[in-house]
Amino acid sequence: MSVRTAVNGFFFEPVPLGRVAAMRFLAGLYVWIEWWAYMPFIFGHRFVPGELYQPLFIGRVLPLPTPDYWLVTGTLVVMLAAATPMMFGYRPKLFGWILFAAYFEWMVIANSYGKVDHASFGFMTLLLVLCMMPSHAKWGDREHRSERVGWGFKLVQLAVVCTYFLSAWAKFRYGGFDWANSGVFTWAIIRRGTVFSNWLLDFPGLLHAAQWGMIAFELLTPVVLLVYRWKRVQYAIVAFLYCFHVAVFASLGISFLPHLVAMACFLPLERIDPREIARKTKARFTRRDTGHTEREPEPQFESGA
Amino acid sequence: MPAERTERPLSRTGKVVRVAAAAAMVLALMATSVWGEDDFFPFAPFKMYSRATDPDGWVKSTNVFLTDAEGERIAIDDDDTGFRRAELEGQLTRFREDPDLLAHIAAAYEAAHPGDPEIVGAEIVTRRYELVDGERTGEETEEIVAVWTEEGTA
Repeated sequence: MSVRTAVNGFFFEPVPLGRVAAMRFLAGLYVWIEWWAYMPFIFGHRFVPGELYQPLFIGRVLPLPTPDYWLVTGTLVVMLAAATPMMFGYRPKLFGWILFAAYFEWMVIANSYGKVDHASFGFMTLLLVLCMMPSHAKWGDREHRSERVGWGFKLVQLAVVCTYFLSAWAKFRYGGFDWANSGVFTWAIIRRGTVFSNWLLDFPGLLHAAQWGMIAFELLTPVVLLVYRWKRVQYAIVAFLYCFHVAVFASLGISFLPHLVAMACFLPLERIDPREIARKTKARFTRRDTGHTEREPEPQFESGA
Repeated sequence: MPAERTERPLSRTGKVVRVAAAAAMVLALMATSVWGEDDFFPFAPFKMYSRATDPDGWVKSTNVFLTDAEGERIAIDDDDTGFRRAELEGQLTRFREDPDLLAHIAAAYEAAHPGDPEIVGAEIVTRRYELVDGERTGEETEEIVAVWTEEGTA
């Protein structure tokens, strides 16, 4: 296999359009959930006086105004107003671009007060690539495949993997190569422990081992990109990553939700068709006496052909 | 394989541009991870929990306490003001040098709780816990980092 075939196969693996519709819906849903349930502090910044605003590089280069009550509220309104039509596939490119711009400003508001969060890079990439994907993408469409969509989601997947892999690098850079032997998990649990994790403070050996495990898995995440031809292996790795985040959420209350939404583009969401599900559910209730269920052909996902 | 296509296949240029864009993104992320700082958001080192904590040392936890006109001491959390603990920690040197900045946290709290009594005082407290072998010994210290009162008499 030549380098060119390998590069083409990796970046331009055709992906069904059904996944685009599903990811648009998930992205819009997340935007609707984030501001009141997940990161209410961003909207809370409308109360914070401008004296505590510390503009980032991007905020100093672009003429972005110092956030105040109306700027924060206005950004939120634009974001939600654009997310709604986009998530249901109405003019998704136009509203996608508006959403991307508004969400970017929202992130500037979120990160310009002395703390930068790192969980949303993949999600911002997702919003950007969704703007460039076909507007006629329909739920459950497994027939129409697109190389452009394949590239877009690959970009998001690269961003997701970089988030893991480079966070291991950041641990070496800021914590030293001895990070895994430090007391960082103890510290984290003292700060944000829950009923699921406080007992761990009595077992420092276990936390020590978990720190090594974390470094190891973060450094190994690029594997999930390399196994793209073996979908079952890839889905299993993605499932492991989701389980990791469930465990972190249970023990520290931190969920990296936007990152989890972005990561969903690894999954064959084109299999989900709400209309089909609704039709089948209805059929099950109306034709229960016949006892006959339709057989669906086995879905195929290997795209090597 | 029913790989139906309705779009034009990508041109060679289209592919080169897309691969280059992906490479640029990854390189920018790597470069900012190696040399960059948070300032370059959205390209910033992914340093979630990256600081090492000495298992035989002290770990700290910083909080803001407000005092209202009725003398009640309020331990605030992230949603009370919109100004998070992590943000406070990020700007802690500013607060240490100029405790009057606490007036802005008080103002944020008042704006977020319009019905409540006025805030007349605030202080930042850092608590340190001793660890030995990653376990808490029960030894704690408390440091008052900055104090502000309404009259500015602190």
